[in-house]
Amino acid sequence: MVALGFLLGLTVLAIGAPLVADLIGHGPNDLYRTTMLDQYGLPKGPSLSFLFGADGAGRDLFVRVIYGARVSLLVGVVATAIAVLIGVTLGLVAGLRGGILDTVLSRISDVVLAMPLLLFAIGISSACSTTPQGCVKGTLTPGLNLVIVVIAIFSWPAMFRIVRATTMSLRQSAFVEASRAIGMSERNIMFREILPNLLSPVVVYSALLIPQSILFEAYLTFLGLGIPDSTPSWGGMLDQASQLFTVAWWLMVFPGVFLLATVLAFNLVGDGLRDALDPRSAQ
Amino acid sequence: MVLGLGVLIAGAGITLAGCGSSSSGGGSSSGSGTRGGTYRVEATDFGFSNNFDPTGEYTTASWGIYRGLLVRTLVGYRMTGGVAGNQLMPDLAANLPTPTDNNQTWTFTLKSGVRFAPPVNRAITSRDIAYAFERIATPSLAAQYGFYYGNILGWDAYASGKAKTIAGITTPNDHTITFRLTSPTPDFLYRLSLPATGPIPKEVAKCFPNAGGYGRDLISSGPYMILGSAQLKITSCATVRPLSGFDPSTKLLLVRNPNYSPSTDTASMRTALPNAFSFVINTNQTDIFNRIRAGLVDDSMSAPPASIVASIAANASQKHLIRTGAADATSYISMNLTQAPFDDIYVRKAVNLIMDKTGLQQAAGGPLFGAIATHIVPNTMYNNDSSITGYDPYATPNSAGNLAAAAAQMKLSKYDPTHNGTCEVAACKNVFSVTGNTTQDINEVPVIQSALAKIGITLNVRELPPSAMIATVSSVAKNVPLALSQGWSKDYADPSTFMTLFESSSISPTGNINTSLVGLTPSLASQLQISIPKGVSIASIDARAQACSATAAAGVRQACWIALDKNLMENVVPWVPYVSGNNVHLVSSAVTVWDYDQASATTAYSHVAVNPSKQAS
Repeated sequence: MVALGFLLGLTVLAIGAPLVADLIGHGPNDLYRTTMLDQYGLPKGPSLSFLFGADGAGRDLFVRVIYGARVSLLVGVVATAIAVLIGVTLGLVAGLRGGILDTVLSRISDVVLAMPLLLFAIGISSACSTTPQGCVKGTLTPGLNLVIVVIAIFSWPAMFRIVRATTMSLRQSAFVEASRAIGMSERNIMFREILPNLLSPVVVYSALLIPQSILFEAYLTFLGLGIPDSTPSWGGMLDQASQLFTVAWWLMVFPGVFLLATVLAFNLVGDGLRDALDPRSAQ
Repeated sequence: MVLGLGVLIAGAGITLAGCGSSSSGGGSSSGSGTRGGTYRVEATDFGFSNNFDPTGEYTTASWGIYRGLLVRTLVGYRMTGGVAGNQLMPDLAANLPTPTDNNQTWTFTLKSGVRFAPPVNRAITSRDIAYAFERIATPSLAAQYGFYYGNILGWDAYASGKAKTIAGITTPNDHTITFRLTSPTPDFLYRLSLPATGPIPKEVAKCFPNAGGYGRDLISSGPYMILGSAQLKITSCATVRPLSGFDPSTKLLLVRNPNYSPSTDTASMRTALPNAFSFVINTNQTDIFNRIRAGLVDDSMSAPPASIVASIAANASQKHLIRTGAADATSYISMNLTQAPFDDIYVRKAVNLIMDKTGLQQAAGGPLFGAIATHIVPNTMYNNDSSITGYDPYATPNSAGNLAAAAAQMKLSKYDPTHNGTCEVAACKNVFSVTGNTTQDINEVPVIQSALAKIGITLNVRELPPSAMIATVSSVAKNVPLALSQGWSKDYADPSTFMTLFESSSISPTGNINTSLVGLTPSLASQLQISIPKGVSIASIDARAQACSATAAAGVRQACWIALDKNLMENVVPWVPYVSGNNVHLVSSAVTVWDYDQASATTAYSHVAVNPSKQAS
């Protein structure tokens, strides 16, 4: 419950980030270089007017951290939603139809899992960064959208495998056989009999996929492949901190703690959901 | 790093570090050093561009080592900081010659008594210098600045294999070499100061027909040699093995060259006090500077980050360990004259007037790391001429931008139809821009965005790894409207090495160094499959640059370049120059003598000394 409360609070903070910024009077990209940077361009630490201190460009780190929550939550939820949509759809089809279709889809998921994730991300990011149009006729441009697509591409196979395996098990079960016996269509069997029974593993795994997506976004941005600096993100802040943490501890501590707490909270919520939805756990 | 006529700096933040005028150190260090000890240098990466073969090596780090320690050339430098360090001196040549035939014929007499290091041991002859030029002209050896010598008579014939020698280079005897050029080249002496022109013994180098091979067995003509040289067997190519003192991925160890005679040199060029030099790779940058502070290392080939400099500068007992020198480099924002809204000179002037140069200087590490730049070529390269040192056509209070002045220019542009001083049309929104992804580059972005937003220009910034950034910016087909965090440094101290960035002959489909496309003509644009917007006339400086290049009298030549620099800033406006960078070095307390090599923009290794008793181990 504490974890859920934290996530709810974080969501409220993320949604209300512009209001908080207005209240403080510091925008996420406002520069305070004369007051918050020293003669070497190094940031100054926390104070009453800058609760988390300044970042390397002289911006209010507190404001950027709460704006960064928007990116993390958005990436986590949207990328996971896309991955779940793809994984559940393909897993259902493969599990129910079997045969060649199952083999093809399973091999595709194996190929995706075997791809060098980071190299692929670097390749896509580089290819889409050097022209204003990005790539795929402007569909993919560097930044948030690209990060979400890359994460989704690499996240669906795990969901696919879970759904496929569960579906294959369910389609042999007595209640599905009974439905078939009374003449229910395959489509109705899929949506009315099997899909509801997939809800538990899908929900639990989704809750665990969100923190993975958040971390992956942080990795990509840390490596300079993700969200541009003008959009605050925790990964970007940690990237900057890696250069300056010896003289500006706050750059690492505050975004790091928020990232840690968020990932931990999602994991705890995921564990809680699994316990709640898995009848064996209750026993 | 892309290597061009000058050295294009991949993200100004990478190379530009350090500031000339410093509260905590200075460009040079006097001091009475004594002979002995080992000068220990570490680097995160040598970054050699051609495996340390002088023919193709094009990095300032290698040039510093060559000039100070291993490779003597006909013409050299005083090996000190500031304007004096850019002054030419005879090195292998007995004197600086007076050219004849309208600066097209240059004859040198070599000093006697200069010998190659072991195992070659023999006297250096004019033929060894001619051979170095033949290597430069050999395509398979990948010389990277052969364009400086392309006007030597017979160059192309040799390069294409149609001639066995370069007709324009003659060696009537061992001590004389003559260069005959096809066009007047008053800066030819500077070109002869570049390390690729140093003597190379054919008996060793002939064993390496491919690029970079000779770097592993470089035979020294300077006061030091690579460890293992004395043991090298050169009776046949089969016996030539890599020298034990050099591994490009780990170390470069130098010891004294027993054949070096100080009487053939001058103390102003080389004092050669340490007994040995060690250049060692340490991939942990922070560790390098911690080791310097602990006395375990004496110097670094890379600049310390601002965070380390700041902590040392704050310590009264350590601040003297920071040494600085002008890098003869300019950091700038490049505006593409064919791309909206920068195809309008009033917009380009407004951008210059609104830019917060002090903010950009701060992002670069503050005044210690560079002075505010107000024009194209660094002042040091104009010998700090008073007619340019105070020149700032876009002066603003505290160099932080002036909205009223910028708005006044914007009102005159076609992109401000309502004449309210801001650009409100679509061409000014989401302007595609490219920058590097180093910390400094990224820190500069919000400063630039914040400034441009005041006149209505918003940016769509792509932060790319340095190599990708350079490839993108230097591709004409990409036609990047605004290139942020660009940098350029000299090859030698003649303004032509900067002005070439604006000549139409420098425009090429890839590897383009004229990123503003100054001088682009409709026919050239057609060849490159790009277009010039209707109604836009792109200025050219070709004729003026050629006139300056052909001018021999030093004072007149300098005045010509200064006038062209001002013309560029006021009538063409291709750049927003913002920092004249400096190099910062952190040295150990064991260093008793340290000087800055202005020509190579790094430590003057020939003018350093250490006190071994203060070195930790």
